[in-house]
Amino acid sequence: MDEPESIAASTGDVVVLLGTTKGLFALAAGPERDRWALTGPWFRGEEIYAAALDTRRGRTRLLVGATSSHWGPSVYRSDDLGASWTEPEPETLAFPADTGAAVAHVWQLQPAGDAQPDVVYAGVEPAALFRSDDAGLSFRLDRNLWGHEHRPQWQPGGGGLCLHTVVTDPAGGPRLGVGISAAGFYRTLDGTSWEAANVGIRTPFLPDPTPVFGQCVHKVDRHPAEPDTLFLQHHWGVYRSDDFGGRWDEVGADDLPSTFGFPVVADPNHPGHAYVLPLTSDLFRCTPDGRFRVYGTTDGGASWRGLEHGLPQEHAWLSVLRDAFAADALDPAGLYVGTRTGEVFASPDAGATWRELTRHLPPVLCVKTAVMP
Amino acid sequence: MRAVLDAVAADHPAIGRRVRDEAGTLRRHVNVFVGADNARDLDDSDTLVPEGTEVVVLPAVSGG
Repeated sequence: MDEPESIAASTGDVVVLLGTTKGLFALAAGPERDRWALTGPWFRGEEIYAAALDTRRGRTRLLVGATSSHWGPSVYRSDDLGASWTEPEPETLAFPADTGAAVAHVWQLQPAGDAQPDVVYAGVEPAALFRSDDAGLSFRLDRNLWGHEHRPQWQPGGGGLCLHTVVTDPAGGPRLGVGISAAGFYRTLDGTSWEAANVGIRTPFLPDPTPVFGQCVHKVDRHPAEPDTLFLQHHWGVYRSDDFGGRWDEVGADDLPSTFGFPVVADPNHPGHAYVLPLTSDLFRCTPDGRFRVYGTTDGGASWRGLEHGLPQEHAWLSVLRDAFAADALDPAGLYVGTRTGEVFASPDAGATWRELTRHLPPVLCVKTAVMP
Repeated sequence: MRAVLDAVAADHPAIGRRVRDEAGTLRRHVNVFVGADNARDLDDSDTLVPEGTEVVVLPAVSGG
């Protein structure tokens, strides 16, 4: 079986990694983001829940969390844009023997900010956080979160009991937040003690409408210049916190066609700008009215408007998973959305206009971007 | 059979972790045959491997 060539990208180019249920693909284009080349698949037949292109320190390291349904999960890396991959040896990411646990999926590979250029966090199923201090060569379990008193009571969402989101401190401080389905948002302010941080998030699917934990957090994102302000897409409701999860307030209920959805993306250039992709409801997880619309806010969530120019608006019953929507770091931001039916849509102008970059891929699990150093 | 797989894992860690997870559980879509018998139908990892018996690891028809 022929493996693909490496990603053809050089300084200033934009790379979009597409993790699918059957392997990893990549799109690459110049900074104009008008002519895209698709490469892949790597890891044929494996589920790619997590991917990252780490460009800190000038490196171009691909990190991929791949799960073979036969041979299990692993984290692979490539320092030549996919021309060759390193098999972890010894095991890169695994639970310590005393936990009795085993990694089912690697859900997230999140490089920390430039202030911690060798730190990479990994979120896995069963819900746990790992940290690498050598840019992904090895990971160790965060035992403080693993030992949290709530953990025995955490319940899995439809995707399993997974830690799918890691919100890092761009200044390199110890503060850290994680999203766990369906346990909620947890944070540590000192890097050691973890607390549930879900005040204000309603849970209409539970008898207690405001439990301490048990929220079904789908995704959380923030702008690096305003790290206290978080946007959160919950199972029901879009929320904003201005104190790193100390309290949450619902936003968008008047403007969005539905407050159900999975991804939320903070614009990397403009604090207070964010994007969501509403789905009809938890019982009908398709775009409302057969129209594929991204919604954006430019005022911190106070108002939202549809961004659909160029997106299919008839008979488009699409669905997008929590990690299948990403923005690049250029200004205006490029936006990239992958669907469960294998289309990838992109906007080079922060959602003003869109076009389809490719179709017929396997279901898209994650979309991650980087600008080549 | 556990001792056989332990020995394989010691010599070839990458094979070892593909056959069993880090908790020692045989992966769901991997079958290990002791002779002609699937170890899952016997005593799983505790299945006795008689001297000279071939142990074969095969991916199941499920998965992929």
